[in-house]
Amino acid sequence: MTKSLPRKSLVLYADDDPDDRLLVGEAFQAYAQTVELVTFPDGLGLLQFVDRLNTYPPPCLIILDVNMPKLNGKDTLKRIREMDHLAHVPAVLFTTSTLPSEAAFANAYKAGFLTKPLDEGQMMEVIDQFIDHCGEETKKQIRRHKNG
Amino acid sequence: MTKKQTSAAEFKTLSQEEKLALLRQDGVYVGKVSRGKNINILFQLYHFYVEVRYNNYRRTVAGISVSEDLALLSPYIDQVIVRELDKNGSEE
Repeated sequence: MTKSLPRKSLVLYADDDPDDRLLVGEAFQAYAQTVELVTFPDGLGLLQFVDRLNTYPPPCLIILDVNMPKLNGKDTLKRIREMDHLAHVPAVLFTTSTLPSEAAFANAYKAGFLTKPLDEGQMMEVIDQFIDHCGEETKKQIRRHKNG
Repeated sequence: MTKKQTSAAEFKTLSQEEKLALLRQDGVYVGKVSRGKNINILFQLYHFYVEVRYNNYRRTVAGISVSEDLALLSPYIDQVIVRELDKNGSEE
Protein backbone atom coordinates (compact mmCIF):
# COMPACT_ATOMS: atom_id res chain seq x y z
CA MET A 1 0.00 0.00 0.00
CA THR A 2 1.31 3.42 -0.87
CA LYS A 3 1.51 5.78 2.04
CA SER A 4 0.22 9.16 0.95
CA LEU A 5 2.08 12.32 1.80
CA PRO A 6 0.40 14.77 4.16
CA ARG A 7 -1.35 17.82 2.78
CA LYS A 8 1.17 20.64 2.38
CA SER A 9 1.24 23.50 4.86
CA LEU A 10 1.08 26.91 3.26
CA VAL A 11 3.73 29.48 4.19
CA LEU A 12 3.35 33.01 2.80
CA TYR A 13 6.33 35.34 2.56
CA ALA A 14 6.38 38.99 1.45
CA ASP A 15 9.70 40.71 0.80
CA ASP A 16 10.66 43.29 -1.82
CA ASP A 17 14.24 41.96 -1.98
CA PRO A 18 14.39 39.23 -4.65
CA ASP A 19 17.67 37.91 -3.20
CA ASP A 20 16.02 37.35 0.17
CA ARG A 21 12.98 35.69 -1.44
CA LEU A 22 15.31 33.36 -3.32
CA LEU A 23 17.34 32.62 -0.19
CA VAL A 24 14.30 31.73 1.93
CA GLY A 25 12.84 29.73 -0.95
CA GLU A 26 16.02 27.67 -1.19
CA ALA A 27 16.11 27.13 2.57
CA PHE A 28 12.50 25.87 2.61
CA GLN A 29 13.38 23.39 -0.15
CA ALA A 30 14.44 21.01 2.62
CA TYR A 31 10.76 20.94 3.66
CA ALA A 32 9.29 20.85 0.16
CA GLN A 33 7.41 17.60 0.84
CA THR A 34 5.22 19.28 3.41
CA VAL A 35 5.58 23.04 2.91
CA GLU A 36 4.36 25.15 0.01
CA LEU A 37 6.07 28.54 0.11
CA VAL A 38 4.34 31.33 -1.80
CA THR A 39 6.21 34.63 -2.10
CA PHE A 40 5.15 38.22 -2.82
CA PRO A 41 7.14 41.39 -3.56
CA ASP A 42 5.06 43.48 -1.14
CA GLY A 43 2.41 43.28 1.55
CA LEU A 44 -0.38 44.29 -0.77
CA GLY A 45 0.20 41.28 -3.00
CA LEU A 46 0.08 39.01 0.03
CA LEU A 47 -3.16 40.58 1.25
CA GLN A 48 -4.79 40.23 -2.16
CA PHE A 49 -3.80 36.57 -2.16
CA VAL A 50 -5.23 35.85 1.29
CA ASP A 51 -8.39 37.78 0.43
CA ARG A 52 -8.95 35.43 -2.49
CA LEU A 53 -7.82 32.41 -0.45
CA ASN A 54 -10.39 32.84 2.32
CA THR A 55 -10.65 29.08 2.73
CA TYR A 56 -9.81 26.46 5.29
CA PRO A 57 -7.13 25.66 6.30
CA PRO A 58 -5.42 29.04 6.66
CA PRO A 59 -1.67 29.41 6.05
CA CYS A 60 0.47 27.86 8.78
CA LEU A 61 2.79 30.87 8.82
CA ILE A 62 3.04 34.38 7.38
CA ILE A 63 6.51 35.93 7.08
CA LEU A 64 6.75 39.68 6.49
CA ASP A 65 9.70 41.87 5.67
CA VAL A 66 9.26 45.27 7.36
CA ASN A 67 10.41 47.73 4.70
CA MET A 68 8.46 47.13 1.51
CA PRO A 69 6.85 49.36 -1.12
CA LYS A 70 3.06 49.64 -1.53
CA LEU A 71 2.33 48.17 1.90
CA ASN A 72 5.04 47.62 4.50
CA GLY A 73 5.25 44.63 6.81
CA LYS A 74 3.88 46.39 9.89
CA ASP A 75 0.78 47.70 8.11
CA THR A 76 0.30 44.31 6.45
CA LEU A 77 0.43 42.64 9.88
CA LYS A 78 -2.15 45.10 11.26
CA ARG A 79 -4.51 44.34 8.35
CA ILE A 80 -3.98 40.58 8.75
CA ARG A 81 -4.96 40.78 12.41
CA GLU A 82 -8.19 42.53 11.40
CA MET A 83 -9.20 39.58 9.20
CA ASP A 84 -11.31 37.02 11.04
CA HIS A 85 -9.78 34.01 9.33
CA LEU A 86 -6.19 35.21 9.87
CA ALA A 87 -6.43 36.92 13.25
CA HIS A 88 -4.64 34.03 14.96
CA VAL A 89 -2.38 32.75 12.18
CA PRO A 90 1.29 32.65 13.27
CA ALA A 91 3.22 35.55 11.77
CA VAL A 92 6.82 36.74 11.91
CA LEU A 93 8.36 40.10 11.09
CA PHE A 94 11.57 39.21 9.26
CA THR A 95 13.82 42.21 9.00
CA THR A 96 17.28 43.70 8.85
CA SER A 97 16.35 45.84 11.85
CA THR A 98 17.44 45.14 15.40
CA LEU A 99 15.44 47.97 16.96
CA PRO A 100 13.57 47.09 20.18
CA SER A 101 10.64 49.22 18.98
CA GLU A 102 10.17 46.91 15.98
CA ALA A 103 10.24 43.83 18.23
CA ALA A 104 7.70 45.50 20.54
CA PHE A 105 5.44 46.20 17.56
CA ALA A 106 5.60 42.53 16.53
CA ASN A 107 4.79 41.45 20.07
CA ALA A 108 1.82 43.83 20.25
CA TYR A 109 0.36 42.18 17.16
CA LYS A 110 1.10 38.63 18.35
CA ALA A 111 3.89 38.09 15.85
CA GLY A 112 7.44 36.85 16.16
CA PHE A 113 10.44 38.99 15.31
CA LEU A 114 13.50 37.64 13.54
CA THR A 115 16.52 39.51 12.23
CA LYS A 116 17.69 38.36 8.81
CA PRO A 117 20.63 35.94 8.88
CA LEU A 118 24.14 36.75 7.75
CA ASP A 119 25.48 33.31 6.90
CA GLU A 120 24.51 29.69 6.30
CA GLY A 121 24.56 28.75 10.00
CA GLN A 122 22.28 31.63 10.98
CA MET A 123 20.02 30.83 8.02
CA MET A 124 19.45 27.27 9.28
CA GLU A 125 18.63 28.64 12.75
CA VAL A 126 16.16 31.08 11.21
CA ILE A 127 14.33 28.36 9.26
CA ASP A 128 14.05 26.34 12.46
CA GLN A 129 12.70 29.41 14.25
CA PHE A 130 10.17 29.98 11.45
CA ILE A 131 8.90 26.44 11.89
CA ASP A 132 8.79 26.89 15.66
CA HIS A 133 6.12 29.54 15.11
CA CYS A 134 3.77 27.05 13.44
CA GLY A 135 1.17 25.11 15.39
CA GLU A 136 2.25 21.94 17.24
CA GLU A 137 0.81 19.44 14.75
CA THR A 138 2.12 21.32 11.73
CA LYS A 139 5.54 21.59 13.31
CA LYS A 140 5.74 17.84 13.95
CA GLN A 141 4.53 17.03 10.46
CA ILE A 142 7.00 19.41 8.79
CA ARG A 143 9.98 18.11 10.78
CA ARG A 144 9.00 14.44 10.27
CA HIS A 145 9.11 14.86 6.50
CA LYS A 146 12.24 16.98 6.24
CA ASN A 147 14.21 16.04 3.10
CA GLY A 148 17.54 14.33 3.46
CA MET B 1 22.41 49.85 32.58
CA THR B 2 24.90 50.98 29.94
CA LYS B 3 25.69 48.36 27.37
CA LYS B 4 29.38 47.82 26.63
CA GLN B 5 30.14 48.67 23.04
CA THR B 6 32.84 46.83 21.16
CA SER B 7 35.39 49.11 19.47
CA ALA B 8 36.46 48.68 15.87
CA ALA B 9 39.84 47.40 17.06
CA GLU B 10 38.19 44.81 19.34
CA PHE B 11 35.76 43.80 16.60
CA LYS B 12 38.64 43.03 14.25
CA THR B 13 40.01 40.47 16.71
CA LEU B 14 36.76 38.45 16.80
CA SER B 15 36.25 35.27 14.80
CA GLN B 16 34.04 35.51 11.72
CA GLU B 17 31.25 33.70 13.55
CA GLU B 18 31.46 36.15 16.48
CA LYS B 19 31.53 39.14 14.13
CA LEU B 20 28.40 37.97 12.32
CA ALA B 21 26.60 37.19 15.57
CA LEU B 22 27.36 40.66 16.94
CA LEU B 23 26.35 42.32 13.68
CA ARG B 24 23.06 40.45 13.66
CA GLN B 25 22.40 41.41 17.25
CA ASP B 26 23.49 45.05 17.33
CA GLY B 27 24.25 46.12 13.77
CA VAL B 28 22.11 48.71 12.02
CA TYR B 29 21.56 47.76 8.40
CA VAL B 30 22.58 50.56 6.07
CA GLY B 31 22.20 49.04 2.62
CA LYS B 32 23.13 46.50 0.02
CA VAL B 33 25.08 46.81 -3.23
CA SER B 34 25.68 44.29 -5.99
CA ARG B 35 29.04 44.14 -7.71
CA GLY B 36 28.69 41.68 -10.54
CA LYS B 37 27.79 38.35 -8.96
CA ASN B 38 28.90 39.51 -5.53
CA ILE B 39 26.65 41.24 -3.02
CA ASN B 40 27.89 43.43 -0.18
CA ILE B 41 25.94 44.59 2.88
CA LEU B 42 26.92 47.55 5.05
CA PHE B 43 26.09 47.90 8.74
CA GLN B 44 26.73 50.59 11.28
CA LEU B 45 27.92 48.96 14.47
CA TYR B 46 28.12 51.46 17.34
CA HIS B 47 30.56 54.09 16.03
CA PHE B 48 32.06 52.28 13.06
CA TYR B 49 30.99 50.61 9.84
CA VAL B 50 31.23 46.98 8.80
CA GLU B 51 30.90 45.74 5.24
CA VAL B 52 30.14 42.05 4.70
CA ARG B 53 31.08 40.78 1.25
CA TYR B 54 29.38 37.67 -0.06
CA ASN B 55 30.16 35.32 -2.87
CA ASN B 56 26.92 33.51 -2.00
CA TYR B 57 24.41 35.98 -0.59
CA ARG B 58 23.71 35.56 3.16
CA ARG B 59 25.33 32.12 2.95
CA THR B 60 29.05 32.29 2.25
CA VAL B 61 31.03 35.30 3.40
CA ALA B 62 33.99 36.28 1.23
CA GLY B 63 35.27 38.96 3.58
CA ILE B 64 34.45 41.50 6.27
CA SER B 65 35.83 45.06 6.25
CA VAL B 66 35.79 47.40 9.23
CA SER B 67 36.20 51.15 9.04
CA GLU B 68 35.49 54.30 10.98
CA ASP B 69 35.84 56.25 7.75
CA LEU B 70 32.64 57.55 6.19
CA ALA B 71 34.13 56.73 2.78
CA LEU B 72 32.85 53.18 3.22
CA LEU B 73 29.34 54.66 3.12
CA SER B 74 29.56 56.21 -0.33
CA PRO B 75 28.28 53.25 -2.42
CA TYR B 76 25.31 52.97 -0.04
CA ILE B 77 24.56 56.63 0.52
CA ASP B 78 21.23 56.61 -1.31
CA GLN B 79 20.01 53.84 1.01
CA VAL B 80 21.02 55.34 4.34
CA ILE B 81 18.09 55.45 6.68
CA VAL B 82 18.96 58.50 8.75
CA ARG B 83 16.28 57.78 11.34
CA GLU B 84 17.77 54.41 12.24
CA LEU B 85 21.35 55.68 12.38
CA ASP B 86 20.31 58.53 14.65
CA LYS B 87 18.43 56.16 16.92
CA ASN B 88 21.40 53.81 17.17
CA GLY B 89 23.64 56.68 18.18
CA SER B 90 21.25 57.78 20.93
CA GLU B 91 20.93 54.35 22.56
CA GLU B 92 24.32 54.37 24.24
